[in-house]
Amino acid sequence: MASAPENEKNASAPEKKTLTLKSMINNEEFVVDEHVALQSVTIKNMVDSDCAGDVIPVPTISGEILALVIEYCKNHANPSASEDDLKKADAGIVAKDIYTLIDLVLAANFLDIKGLLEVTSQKIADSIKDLPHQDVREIFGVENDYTPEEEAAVRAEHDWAFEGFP
Amino acid sequence: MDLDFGRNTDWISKLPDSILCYILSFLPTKYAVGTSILSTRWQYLWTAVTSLDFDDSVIFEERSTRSDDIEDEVDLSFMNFVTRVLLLNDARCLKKFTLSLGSFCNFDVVNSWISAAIRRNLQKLVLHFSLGEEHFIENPVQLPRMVFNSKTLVELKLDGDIILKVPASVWLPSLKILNLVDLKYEGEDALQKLLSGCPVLEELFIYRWIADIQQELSIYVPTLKSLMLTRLVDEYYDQINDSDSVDESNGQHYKLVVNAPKLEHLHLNDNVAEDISLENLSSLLKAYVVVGSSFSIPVRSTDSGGRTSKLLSGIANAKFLDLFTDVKDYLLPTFHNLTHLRLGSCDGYNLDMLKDFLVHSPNLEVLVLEGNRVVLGSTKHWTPPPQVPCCLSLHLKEIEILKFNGKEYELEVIEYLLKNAEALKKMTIDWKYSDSCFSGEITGFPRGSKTCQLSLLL
Repeated sequence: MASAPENEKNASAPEKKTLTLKSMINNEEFVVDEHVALQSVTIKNMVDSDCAGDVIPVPTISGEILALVIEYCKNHANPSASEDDLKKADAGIVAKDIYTLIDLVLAANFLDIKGLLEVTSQKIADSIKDLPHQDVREIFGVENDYTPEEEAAVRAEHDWAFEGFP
Repeated sequence: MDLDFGRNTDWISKLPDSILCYILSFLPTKYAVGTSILSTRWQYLWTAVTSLDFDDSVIFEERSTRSDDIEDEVDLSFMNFVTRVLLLNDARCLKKFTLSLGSFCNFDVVNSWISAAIRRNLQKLVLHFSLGEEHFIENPVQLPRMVFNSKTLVELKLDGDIILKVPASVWLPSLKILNLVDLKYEGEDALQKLLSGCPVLEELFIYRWIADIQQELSIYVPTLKSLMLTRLVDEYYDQINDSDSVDESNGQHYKLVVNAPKLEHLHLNDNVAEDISLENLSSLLKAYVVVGSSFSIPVRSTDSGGRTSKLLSGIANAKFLDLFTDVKDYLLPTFHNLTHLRLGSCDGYNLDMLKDFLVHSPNLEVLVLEGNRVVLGSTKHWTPPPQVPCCLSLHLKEIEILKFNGKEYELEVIEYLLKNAEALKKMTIDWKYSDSCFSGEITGFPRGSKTCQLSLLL
């Protein structure tokens, strides 16, 4: 009963516009409704300036990460989602290990999706907050290039910042 | 092609400064500055963060074991830190400045920090001071005047030991969100003056224990979309006042007026005002209201029914309503838009009110009845309305019974609803506070809707 008029509607209505996003890391393709993909300002600019072909190549973002980005965009393109629903969904998306989060923050930055950039950055900040400095260096691939004297000077400069740290 | 490209740490180390700095903005400033130790590249990254968040409690926890000398040293260390950060940080616009103090109380210095932050085109100011009553009486904290004349401030949250002293001229042309929690107010009109200088305010949150002089509070804000107002009587004050309750007629009159044509969300728990006027709430969508004797101790008013009637007619546009009340004497207007109703009471169901709402909510779709664990008067009985209300025969789809107790009148209500709600799809009963020996009785009740599902939550 309910499905019959639905089908008719689909037949008469113009086909929903979709875009294909392709990860250039592993060639994975994702077909996405246009209004979902347009939450990315980068993609929106490409579409608006007619630079988008049938397939939009996304460099430096793996399929795994692109899938998370698209999940985020779908959630936030749903007009009936309540604020609480979105909060829960966001928390699910960022419940990942730190390396996935760093990939995700880079993706959000490249695709220019402000909300995703924010929740991911917050999560990264929360996860590194209580880590020893050496662990944070490892996560971000940082080599300590201070001389012992320089390091001591930095510590002395902001002593309160280092209270409670080894 | 390198499939693990995203995990390549070389690539991660090429994260642009702008992203690293953005991430640092989400850390308390103590930690953000701490990253300067990582490497020379990181040494000054934090100086561009746009959000500063200071909290002296990190040290405060260890304070009890410290001598006065060390305490002074720690205060000095915290003070130098905040001052240095404010001097070195060179973000052109500060998005957020948060200051939580539990012990540091040199307020000449604190006010200079706040002013420095405001001058950097600050958008959000959050102050949380819990310095203790003793300190507060000696040195009441006032905010710098600059706070009340900022062109850029969008959000202002004040919590704790602060006196709200509002200067004669207030102008906050960008302020959309205002939170005032547990403040003291200097002068009756402090809040009024502040509101009059907020031409685009959308969200107002006030939490207040009343322990002072008489108060007439008018909230007339044409742009307001959300109002959360909690005013409670201080129990201590109450005891003092009880001893000479004979004087109740000596002119003490608490009044609340809200006039907000764009208001969509109202959360009201005011047991202080004897006279509540909600005017012009034509956009109201959701209301959460607590009113009445058992919830408000004490009831000063002699005419709590009239007060409730006035309040109810003010929220009659709501689509969603959560109402907690024991008031028995009231007049109910018609709630034409109401689709979701949650009714609660301290004393089991407010049966008369349930009946009246069924009759006066022609479009009700979801009904939640919240009982109570301890019910004193169990002798009451359900008297159904003379005719079956149209919401029951046409619209009511979902009923939830929370904190079911197994009292006679609860069963009567459930039986009536199951029999007459012809469009009902689902009834859920939460049995946590009763034994399950009623389940047979309830599942046997005749049902007006053939498609109704009954779920019993144990």
